[in-house]
Parts: sequence; structure tokens; C-alpha cells
Amino acid sequence: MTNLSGILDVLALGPLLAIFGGVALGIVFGSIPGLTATMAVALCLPLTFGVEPVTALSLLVGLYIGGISGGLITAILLNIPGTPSSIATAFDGYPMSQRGEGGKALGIAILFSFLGTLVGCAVLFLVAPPLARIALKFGSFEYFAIAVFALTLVAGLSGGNMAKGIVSTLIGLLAAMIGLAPVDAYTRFTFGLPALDGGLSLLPVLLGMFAVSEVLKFAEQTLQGRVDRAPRFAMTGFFGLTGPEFRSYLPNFARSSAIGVAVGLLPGIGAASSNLLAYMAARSASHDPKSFGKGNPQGLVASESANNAGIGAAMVPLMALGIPGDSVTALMLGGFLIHGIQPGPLLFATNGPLVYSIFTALVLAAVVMLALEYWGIRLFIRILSVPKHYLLSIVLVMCVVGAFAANNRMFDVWTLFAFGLLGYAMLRFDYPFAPLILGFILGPMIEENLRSALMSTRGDFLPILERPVAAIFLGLAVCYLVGYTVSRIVRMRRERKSGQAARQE
Amino acid sequence: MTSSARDLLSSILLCALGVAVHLDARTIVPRFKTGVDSGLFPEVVSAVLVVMAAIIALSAVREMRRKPPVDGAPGEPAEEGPVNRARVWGAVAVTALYIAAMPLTGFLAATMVFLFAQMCLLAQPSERRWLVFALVAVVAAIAIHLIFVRGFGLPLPRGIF
Repeated sequence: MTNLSGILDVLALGPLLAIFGGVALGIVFGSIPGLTATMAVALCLPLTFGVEPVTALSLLVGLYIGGISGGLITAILLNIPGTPSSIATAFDGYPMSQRGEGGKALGIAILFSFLGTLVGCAVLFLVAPPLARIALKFGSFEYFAIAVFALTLVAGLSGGNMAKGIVSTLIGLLAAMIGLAPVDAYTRFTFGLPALDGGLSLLPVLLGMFAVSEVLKFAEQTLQGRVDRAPRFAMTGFFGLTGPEFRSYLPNFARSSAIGVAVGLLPGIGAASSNLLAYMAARSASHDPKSFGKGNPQGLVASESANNAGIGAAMVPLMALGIPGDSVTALMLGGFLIHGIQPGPLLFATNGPLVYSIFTALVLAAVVMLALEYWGIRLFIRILSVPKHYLLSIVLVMCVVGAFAANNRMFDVWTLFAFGLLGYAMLRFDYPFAPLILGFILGPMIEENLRSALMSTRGDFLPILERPVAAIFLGLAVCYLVGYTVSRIVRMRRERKSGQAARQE
Repeated sequence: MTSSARDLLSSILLCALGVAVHLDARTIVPRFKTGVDSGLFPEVVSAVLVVMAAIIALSAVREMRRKPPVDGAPGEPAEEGPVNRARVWGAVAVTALYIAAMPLTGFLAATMVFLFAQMCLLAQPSERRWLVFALVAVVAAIAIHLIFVRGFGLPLPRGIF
């Protein structure tokens, strides 16, 4: 009965309006490069002070879901991810949009965002406490092994040239080393600039690489080389999909959602890496990996299922243990505490109706997100008909605002500019961007956890291998690298042989 | 510039970066007796960077030495298509000036001028509509300023004047 009252609490006018408004505003924040779900929640948190807890949490949940999902719009239409959680969405979404399938790409991305969110909600609803306890058992050893495994998957993002993919990853790792080193706080590569002591923020780096370089790429095009016309809008069937197509995406959806849930459960990894990991896994599992990056809808399915499945999963440690997994859930923890709600194991026992209210708000927010984005497709697609010299100039200003707002300092705006130049140089020299971003995110995780682990084992590496989870992930990393190398060698030999045979003929 | 020449040039730059980082990382003083110190990771990463740069350089040199096919099929493309370098440098300069001017002039004034200049630069000569650009620049700058400063309370640079 108490559970039912929790569900009914959300079905009142106030919470419903909060969900609708939160999702709508979240989508706007998510879709504008430079503005993120974290920023939306941070800016709206003060608005929740004077309202009922259920209404406040409904608003925050709506902002979270809208903010994560909204990033797909500019990723698909402009090749500029609105948020870090939709980096991989741009890889195949933009090529689809360029060949006139923007409507279909948006339809697929929106549908799988919705389905991914439902998977995350189901995880939160069904197995929150036991899963949270398992996630909490993961220590430095396990985090180190998981990050190493994730980094080895970079081959899937290299775009055919493995050496250049590795170089891109290494540049990301080096960029992440700027500032205070983990464990002993040694100041590295700061060139005496105090602004560099705290290291570089992800948002300016990401926006520089993707948005500023996109502006410069557009600037270099001559009138003859410019593709400025709006591609044809095309979306037929159910979200642009036929029945067989939908069924063929289900294994990828299941795998990607599982990756999103796993990453969401583990505090500190975040949706920025889950979409890339799911994309790489989908590419590796595909029979046609070469089609990825050229407009394969499976890439969209992987990215959007993973980032949205992580939402419900990221709330598992928050609600079951009171531990926020990322910056958005950290702000939501603030929202809980402001209203006198203490998340943790007792929340489920002492505040059962509220827990059910949050579950209900999550599901309703997912439905509102689906409806708003589906009906908004025709509006979004009109972005493409705005001449790019208007659009990209305003996008650049939004990026500057977003970079500045990250820490309220001009230094981050200069970081955006510097990484924009680096991104453009990498574009000209045919180096892929995505491995750099993955190296930048995972590098500190690898170093910090390995150093913490080795401190606890007095410098001995063997105890790491005695931990089952860590050993499994390190083993998987080795297997993947060996398998990938062998398959590349076999393919090269086969191609050489077929080339020789063709020449002899 | 051919793609092999670009690869060779990039590998030389990367090699120089790797060597510089490696030398700097070696000056890091260990603070703990157990585990690994703060210099190990940059040393390893920079060393791998040098190795990878060498691999890219070698394959670029091999590609450059390879003779074009005798059957007259086209070899490596000589140039990467028409590129308007002047406009790229112009966009870079305008953006740098915008960022440098913002703390002095404030967000609003700097953004109006930047938007106008950037739109003029990115548009093709036949697409330039000076009056429309000026109007869009003023309206967009004021709208962004109002939304973020008044609406969300974000403190954007106000300038010294």
C-alpha cells in the first residue's frame, strides 16, 4: 500500500509538471554543445528548495534523463556531441545525416535512448541493494584492471590505422598527466602556471576537439567542396525502423545496455566512457566492422543504449549506499540532503514510498523524453537548413560559455582553443580523436589505482593477479590484444596474397 | 603535401614531443619508497610515443619509396583537395582575439564583434549579408547574455570598462 502511495505521489500535477519541464530543459542543455546535464542539475538545484521532496526529485530526475539524451541531437546533425555521453553517437549518426538519413538516425537514437533508460530503471528497481554492495567491493586492483581493459579496446576507435590510434591515446594520457600527480601530488608538466595545477577539465578538451575543429574544418572548405545544403529528411516506419531491423539490433542493445549498467554502477567512470566502450564492443562483435564510422546504425544503438542505461545504474550506489557515482548524482545527493532525505541502505526501509516515487519519476521522465524528442525531430532537423556560417559561429560562442562556466575562469576557454587547434591538426594529419578522449578519461584512473594498489602491496604486482575480477579483466585485455593482432596479420597476408594473384592474372 | 609526407612530418613532431616529455619526466624525484613514483607513467607513455612515431615514420618512408604501379594506375594522391588556408587562419585569429578581448571588453561586446566577424569570415562572398549578420550578432549575443547571466545567474566576464 505504501508503495502504491509513492507511485501516486508522482502522478500529481506538481511532479508531472516538474518532470515535463525538467526533461525539456535537460534536452535543451544536452543538445547545446558546452552545456551538460551536470550544469542543468546544478543550475536548477536552488529551484527545488521550496517545493515538496517528490516534486524536487522529479525535476532533478527529468533534467538528468533529458540532459544525457539531448546530446544525441547535435551529435547526429552537426557532428558535435552535445555532451560527453554522446561522443560515439556522432561517429555513425553524422554520416547517416549527411547521406539524407538524419530522421532515421534521430529516430533510432531516440528509441534506444528510451529503451536503455528503461533497462537502467529496471536494474535500479529490481536489484539495487545487492548490486551496490558488489560494486562497493571493487577496489584499486579492480578499477586498474577495468581501465586497462577499456584502454585496450581503443583498437575499435582507430579507424583502420592502429599506430595512429595508439598515438592519439598516448596524447590523451599525457594531457591527463598535466597537474598534480595522484597519490603524492607531485606537480607535473605545469610550466610554472598555477592554473595548470588542477589539470585540464574534460569539457573544454572535448569541445575543443570536436566543436572548434569542426568550425575550422568548415572554414577550410572552398565553395566547390562545400556541402551546405540541408540533407533530405527521411523517417519511415516505427522510429525509422522496420521490424527485422529492430530485431537485428537487439543483441547489440542488450550488450550495450549491460556495458552502460556496469559502468554506471561503478563510481567514477561515467557515461563519457560507457558510450565509447559500448561502441567499441559493438564494432568488435560486428561481422562488418569497416562499416562503423560510415553510418552504421548499430553504432548509434550501442552509444545511446549504453549512456542512458547508465542513468538508472548510476542511481543504484546513490540510493542504496549514499555514494554518488558521477557529478550529476553528486548534485542529486545534495538535492536529497536538502530535503532531509539520507540515501543509504536505510532509505529503502524508512522511506519506501519515496523510493517508489523516484522509480516512477524515472520511468515517466523516460516516456516524456521519448515523446518530446520524437515530436521534436522535425524541429531538430530544421537546424540543418540554417546556413552553417550562422550556426557554427553561435555554437562556438556556446562552447566558450560552457568552457568558462565549467570553473568560472578564462583558462578553460584557452584550453578549448588549444585543443581546437590540436583537433584540427589531427584532422589534417589523419589521426582519430576518440582514442585521445578515452585516454584522457581513463589515464588518471589507471595511474591512480595502480599506484594505490602498489602502495598497499609494497610494490608487488602479483597480488593484483590474485584478485579474481582484476585477473579476469587483465586476461581479457591480453586476449583481446593478441586476438586483434593475429587477425590483423592474417588479414594483411590474405590481402597481400590476393593482390599478388590479381597482378599475376 | 602527400599523405606520406604528412605522416612523416607528424611523426617527427611526435618524436620531439616524446623526447621532451621523457627528459622532463626523468627529473621527477621519487617521494615514496614503495610502489611507483610520479615519473614512471610519463616516462613509459613518452617512450611508447617515440616508438609509435618511429613506426609511422618508417611506414611513411616505405610508402614514399614505393614506385607507382607500372600499369599506369594512380598511386598516392598528391594533394588533399582544395583547401582555403587563409580562411582557416582567419577563423583561428578571430577566435584568439575574441578570447583575449573578453576579459577586457566583457562578454557582451566581445561576442557581438566576434559573431559578426566570424560569420563574415565563414560565409562565402556570395552569401554575405552585412546587415543580417550585424543583426544576428547583436540579437544572439544579447539573448545568450540574458539567458545565462539573468536566467541562470552564471557570472560571465563583465570587462574592465
